[in-house]
Amino acid sequence: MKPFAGMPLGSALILFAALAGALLAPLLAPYDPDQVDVLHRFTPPFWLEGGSMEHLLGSDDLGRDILSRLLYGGRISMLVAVVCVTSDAVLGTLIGMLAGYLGGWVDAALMRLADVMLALPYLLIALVVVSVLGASLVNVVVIIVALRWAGLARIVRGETLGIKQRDYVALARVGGVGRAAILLRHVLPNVMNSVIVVSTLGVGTVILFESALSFLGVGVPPPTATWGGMVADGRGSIGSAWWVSLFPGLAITAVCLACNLLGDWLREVFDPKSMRA
Amino acid sequence: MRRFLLASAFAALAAPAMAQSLTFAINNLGAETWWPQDISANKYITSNIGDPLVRLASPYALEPALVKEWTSAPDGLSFTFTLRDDVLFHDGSKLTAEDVLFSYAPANVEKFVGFTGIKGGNITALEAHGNTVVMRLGKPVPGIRDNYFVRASIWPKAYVEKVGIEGFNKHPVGAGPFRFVEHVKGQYVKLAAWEKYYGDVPKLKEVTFRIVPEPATRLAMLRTGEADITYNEVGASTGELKKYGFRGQAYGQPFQAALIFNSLLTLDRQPGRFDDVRVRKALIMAVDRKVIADAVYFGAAVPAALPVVATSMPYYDPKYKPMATDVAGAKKLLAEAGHPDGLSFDFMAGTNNKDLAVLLVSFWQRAGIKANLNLVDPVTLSRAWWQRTVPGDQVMLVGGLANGMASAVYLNSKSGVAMYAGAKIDTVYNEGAAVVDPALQEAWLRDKLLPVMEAEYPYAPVLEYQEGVLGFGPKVKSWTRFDLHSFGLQWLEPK
Amino acid sequence: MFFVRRMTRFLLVRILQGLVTLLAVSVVVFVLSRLSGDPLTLIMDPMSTKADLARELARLGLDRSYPEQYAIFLANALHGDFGQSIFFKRGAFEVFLEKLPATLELGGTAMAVSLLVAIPIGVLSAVHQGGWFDRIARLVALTGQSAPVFWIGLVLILLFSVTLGWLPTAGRGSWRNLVLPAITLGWYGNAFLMRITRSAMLDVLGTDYVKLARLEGLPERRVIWKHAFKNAATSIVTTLGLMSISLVTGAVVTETVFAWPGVGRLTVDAIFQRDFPVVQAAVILIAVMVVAVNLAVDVVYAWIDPRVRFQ
Repeated sequence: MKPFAGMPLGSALILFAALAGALLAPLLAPYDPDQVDVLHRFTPPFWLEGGSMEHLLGSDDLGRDILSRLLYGGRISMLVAVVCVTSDAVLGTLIGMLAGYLGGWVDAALMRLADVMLALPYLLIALVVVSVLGASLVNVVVIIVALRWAGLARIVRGETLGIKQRDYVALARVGGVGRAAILLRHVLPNVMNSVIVVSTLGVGTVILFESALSFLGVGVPPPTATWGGMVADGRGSIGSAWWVSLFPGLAITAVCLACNLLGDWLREVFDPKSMRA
Repeated sequence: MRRFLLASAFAALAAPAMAQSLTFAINNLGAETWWPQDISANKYITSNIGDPLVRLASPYALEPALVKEWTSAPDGLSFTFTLRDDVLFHDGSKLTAEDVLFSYAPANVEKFVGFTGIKGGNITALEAHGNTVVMRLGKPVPGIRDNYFVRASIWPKAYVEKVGIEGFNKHPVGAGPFRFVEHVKGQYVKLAAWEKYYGDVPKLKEVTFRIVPEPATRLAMLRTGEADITYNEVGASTGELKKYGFRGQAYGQPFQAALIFNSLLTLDRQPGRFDDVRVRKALIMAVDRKVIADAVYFGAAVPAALPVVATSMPYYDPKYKPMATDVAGAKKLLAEAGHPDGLSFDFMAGTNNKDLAVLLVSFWQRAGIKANLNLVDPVTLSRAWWQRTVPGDQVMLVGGLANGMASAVYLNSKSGVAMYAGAKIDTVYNEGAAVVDPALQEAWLRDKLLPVMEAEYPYAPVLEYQEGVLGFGPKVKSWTRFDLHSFGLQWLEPK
Repeated sequence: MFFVRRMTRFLLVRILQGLVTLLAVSVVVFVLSRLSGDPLTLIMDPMSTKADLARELARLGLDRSYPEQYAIFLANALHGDFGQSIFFKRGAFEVFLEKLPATLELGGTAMAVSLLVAIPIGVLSAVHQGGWFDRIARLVALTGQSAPVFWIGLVLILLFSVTLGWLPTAGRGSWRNLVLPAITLGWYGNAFLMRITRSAMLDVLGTDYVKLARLEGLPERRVIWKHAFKNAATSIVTTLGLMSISLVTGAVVTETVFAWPGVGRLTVDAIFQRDFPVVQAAVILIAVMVVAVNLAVDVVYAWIDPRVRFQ
């Protein structure tokens, strides 16, 4: 079987372009993303009347270059997404494996904790927390991580329960292999597929979550550019200076769609049956 | 319903060109209860339904409303109001001195939300002699006129006692230019012109206040014609109005955006870099405020000159001009104050002032001043300011009224929200607070306070603007006269 | 008899777990709301002194110790009393209940939109896996969960209200007011539901059971909807609990954009105003609803699918 059969090429390309843009932002960006120039605010993109090659995608309400902010904003948005998703993967996998493998009160306690996280209206909780701690890049990441691990932990726990019953695990246990070693060698490789799929699908969710926080005024604080923050800031002029919110909006949509399609494809490739819940 | 349709059809025949009914899209109406009265958000309803004894109208002048005349004693300890005898409440009953005694009764004064100066038994006597009411105070309250008399509506005693608070909240009745028609919680309040209003009977027959929290949605409603008037924060949305050809009109009391200095907020302070007035002034000189005001506020704001008294106040002395932009001068002042290599400080601002904060930081950068911006939500900011919870000599960007005596309270180090604390300024404040005769008070503000403000510059005012900007759709012909506390919708001319 | 007893036991355990969850939620919410600073800075005026502040704190009970405050809060909450809203000066529970119908109306319609659109798309795209319908339909469905909700809402307003003039911009009233917010929110839920439906269908379509049905010569439509979908439906039901909480999140933003007077907007305002009683009431009652939906789902699931019963 070909490993990349049916892979959504467009999605892969979009993700590659977005990552490249983010990594190379200092080389590609024509301006400092935070440099304001109030005399040249709301410059349209170059192909429109009044636009110029100086600001290819136009400028925003403070005269900052949209293209530069898009590149640097992608850095922050994707950094937030990757850090959150990776941390959640580690946390969710660990908790899920421990709960599933150890069982008993550990399982009960961890799963009740997961129930709590899943019963909380997470956007509202994030809002409360940010208003307590103040909005900063680190706080936003910490909140997202803290609120999102439970879903994955549940899936991993379910799979661990199944793997635990398998003969080779029982054999290893009888052979005196330690718990940690069993989890690492036998359970982890078997739950990895689900973890990868859930994490890929999670990237989009995190980017959108950050944008919702920005809309409510508590996202990653300005002047730091993030895609979500750019759309939120540009919404006031969405009818007239549409380019301020359209380009970051399209960037979010493209990257999220790409992650969603890629995640769906991975799911079909790995075919982990327990992923549905 | 049918009768209503017939009536409005008939009215439409009588005055075919006049818009009968307008919709006002507003960001919020507070708790959406009308008792107790609130100074901040439900005032737009309560102050249209109810009228105060004295009104604050543009351009910043006190005018009699429910009174024929009124006087205050030179010591500020007593006020005499002579009521009009042609005022009818919306239930048809006549305004009497009893209603004033009721509205100013201790139980109701205590419930009035927002102004504490008059509470705690400070009203020692309240008497009626025919249609004259005399109020006596235990101690004078500076700003009582601007903060209480013009804000507290007079309510019909008999009606409130009959229906109770709950009944009043369902159907408020007052003597204001508009009477209550309908309220759907969370959505809208409908008012209609009070035909027997004693003053200028509103030309507008009906107005619906619709609650729309999102500014972009309010603008869309103006474009579709679903709204005829929109409330806008001072700032970027003003520019949007202009782009679509809508008129924007600033209204309300004068405000200032100002820099306050954390280390100067308490009397027991540690020495800090902003103790030096030259440093405080340098921060303003380094910024081209005209550019910010024109470009980002679309002319809805202007550079501010001195604390407390806005340049738009009638008794402002025009010889005090806003400091001109002078980057070299700012650097020089800093060097003189011992900071030849510039300055670096923590700068806290509310998310509602995001654009202004970002622009200030970028202007400072050009003058070698490095501000580490920390944007927080407005409540966190006021908490840090009011309770002095942040450490060190941070700078905060805050907004506040700049309407003379009423806002001079910011200079009082004993008040909850001082913008500066210092023995010298306290002395000045106490002298001013002792001057309670209105005419003398204005002279004192102009001749005594302003020179001290220029010399001491206790906090640094950046921009001056009014409470908000109203966007007008095509059905509004003109609206130039306002009640500075509420709106004064009776002066709106529909097309 | 045996079945009934096990069902009762199962239900009891589930209800107990739900209660433990809610208790934990109440602790979390209480701690968070108390940490977020007192609300007095919004209420008091510049003239007030330190003594005024202290008096107000005592009046609101905010001067007691945290454990004391929590004990009082919990005891009252069990009686349906979440305290007086600091901002509205009325019962927080009452304020919440007033706004609930609007959110249920919006959430219910959005859920219906999702079910009506996402399930057929999910089924058909599984049947035509890899084909053009699969690709395009998935792209459309996934877009709802790929673009910021507020942005979709504003673009819909610009398109259908401002440019075309077909629908009202904002507010609650006739069914016409409901169309745009329900599409915005429903589109957000679409992706989730469509994906579950599709993968469940793919699983079922590959089973011997369906192959057998085809071999028996049943018409394809009948095989898909009668045999395959019926089996896939169980996994769709199990996700409704998760979906309800994601609708709440979407509703927070949707209600703001469309001036929809629901609990999402209420809670956001309450958070910014530091109106603890309302925040506590809202978050806990939302959690109660989520736990209840999950419980109902568990029961239904156990009822219709004997294999997982009482695990």
